Amino acid sequence: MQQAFNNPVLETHKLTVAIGGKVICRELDLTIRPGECWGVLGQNGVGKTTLLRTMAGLHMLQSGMVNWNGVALAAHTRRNLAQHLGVLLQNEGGEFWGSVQEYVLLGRFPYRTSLFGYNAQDEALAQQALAQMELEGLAQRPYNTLSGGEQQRAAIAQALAQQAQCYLLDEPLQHLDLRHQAQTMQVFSQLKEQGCALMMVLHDTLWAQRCCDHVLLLFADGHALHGTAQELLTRAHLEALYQCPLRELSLEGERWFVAGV
Amino acid sequence: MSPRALFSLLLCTVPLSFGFGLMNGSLPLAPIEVWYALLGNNEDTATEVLWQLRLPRVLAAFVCGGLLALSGVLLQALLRNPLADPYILGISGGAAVGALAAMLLGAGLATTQLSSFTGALLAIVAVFGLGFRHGERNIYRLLLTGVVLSAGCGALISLLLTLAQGEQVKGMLFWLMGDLSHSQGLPFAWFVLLAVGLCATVLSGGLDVLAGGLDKAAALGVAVGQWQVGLYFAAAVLTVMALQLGGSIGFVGLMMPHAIRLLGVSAHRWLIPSSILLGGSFLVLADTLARMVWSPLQLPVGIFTALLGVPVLLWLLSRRS
Repeated sequence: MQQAFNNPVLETHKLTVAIGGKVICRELDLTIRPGECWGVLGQNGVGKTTLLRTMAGLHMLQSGMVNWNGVALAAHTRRNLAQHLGVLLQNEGGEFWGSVQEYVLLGRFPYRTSLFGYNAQDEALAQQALAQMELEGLAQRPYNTLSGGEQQRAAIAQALAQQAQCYLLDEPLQHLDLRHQAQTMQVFSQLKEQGCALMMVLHDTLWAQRCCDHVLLLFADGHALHGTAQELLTRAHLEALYQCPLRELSLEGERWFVAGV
Repeated sequence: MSPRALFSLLLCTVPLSFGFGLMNGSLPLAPIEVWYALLGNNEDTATEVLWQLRLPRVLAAFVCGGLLALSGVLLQALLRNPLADPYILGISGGAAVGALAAMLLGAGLATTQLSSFTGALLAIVAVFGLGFRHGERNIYRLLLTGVVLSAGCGALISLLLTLAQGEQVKGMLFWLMGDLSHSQGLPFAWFVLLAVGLCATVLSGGLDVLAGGLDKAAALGVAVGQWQVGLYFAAAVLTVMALQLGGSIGFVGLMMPHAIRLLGVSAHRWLIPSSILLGGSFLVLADTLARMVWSPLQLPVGIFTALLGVPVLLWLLSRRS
């Protein structure tokens, strides 16, 4: 049982990803196991989003493979994959005219069995996700009237309603105020404790330290470093990553990295 | 308004619009006359006018409006663009060039129909072949290919109109602005509308997801590539049917789905049937006015779809903001 629990859910083998002729990573070997939380850090435009999309099967890989539960992503149907793997996109690029509740309910689409709508369980899970993201009061509002931060919370709620075993989250904290950043990260920590695997693109090293046990650093030249958060989230590594001098502040056992001017 | 209430309301407007369409024209009939004529017991002028002219015309207007509205809903979901309408992908441009070229050469009705059908098919194949790359989640290429092709067809249409003379020009303008007086193939059009409408309603959950973005739809388990191909051809078939029935009638395909959305219904399960009903009733109303206003002269129905629709939509839009 313990063995099964520790089998990797998402793995990459010698994964090479490129976009528009630019190589993002070369022969990357990653293993993500249940209960792990990975942070992905790197400069703007280094390819964090593209790597995440590749691992979700939304971007064609150059060579190597991405496996879900030991089987190549491409061998799974999209519906089957969507029942296990949740994706939070940075930019959805769609138009949604319905209410927030209807938007969150779309997270149950992978499980829909009836052609004529969602069942009571789906509705209950959507309601629960709305509550987790403190959106009950906005449930009936048209989705496209929400603010950026509220839309982001609705997108997270939709992913939560999906009840996946592994989440790939592209900048989950974008547009969120401080309280909702903390509250969202708390929700993710609970998921992790329940055995869910997470991989998230972050720009805030503090949240990476607090919540991630592993990190992946993507450098501009296409090489990558990965390992435990403890060993990689150091000033030396981060200065090399962001190519700027950093100051390190310590308070109550936590370290802040601030860009020097 | 709740989706169910709106749908019921629209359902009630169907007999009203049919009644209006059957009563009015160059020979106005009272409701009771329509009723007796429909029963068809006596053989008078009213019975003949009703069965030979008005009923086919009203049925053609309704099915044509329904086809256009459904096509608009599907294309707006496929292209995720609120400005998408049945003509945006160049299908009507191809059909118009075909129809006008045949008219210029003095062809009869049947040849004109065949020629416009061929033009539409060529446009569908060209846009799909040039604009669609399987596995590539970028729909802009398809959209732009259609827009570019439409522009090219626009130039050809102008050329054909310039070359035409006298009475020919009038026929061409009627075709371009929409005209339901030569509708043919009515049973088949109804079959297509009902079949595609039913399929689309059954599959409406996927359309909701697809409208929210392609990557999102894929992440939620939709086989995006297959859906895109299916939607494109479904919308193309609907548009071709509508063009064959009434020429390029504007406004209905673009605006009926928006009108329903502005009334607060956006889930495709209700949006699809509601748009069909509204599009159908609306076109019956517009076509009846086109027959009535200058009677016995008939005007192109496209004028009335815009004249009726524009103020209503402007009001809906301003009410919202």
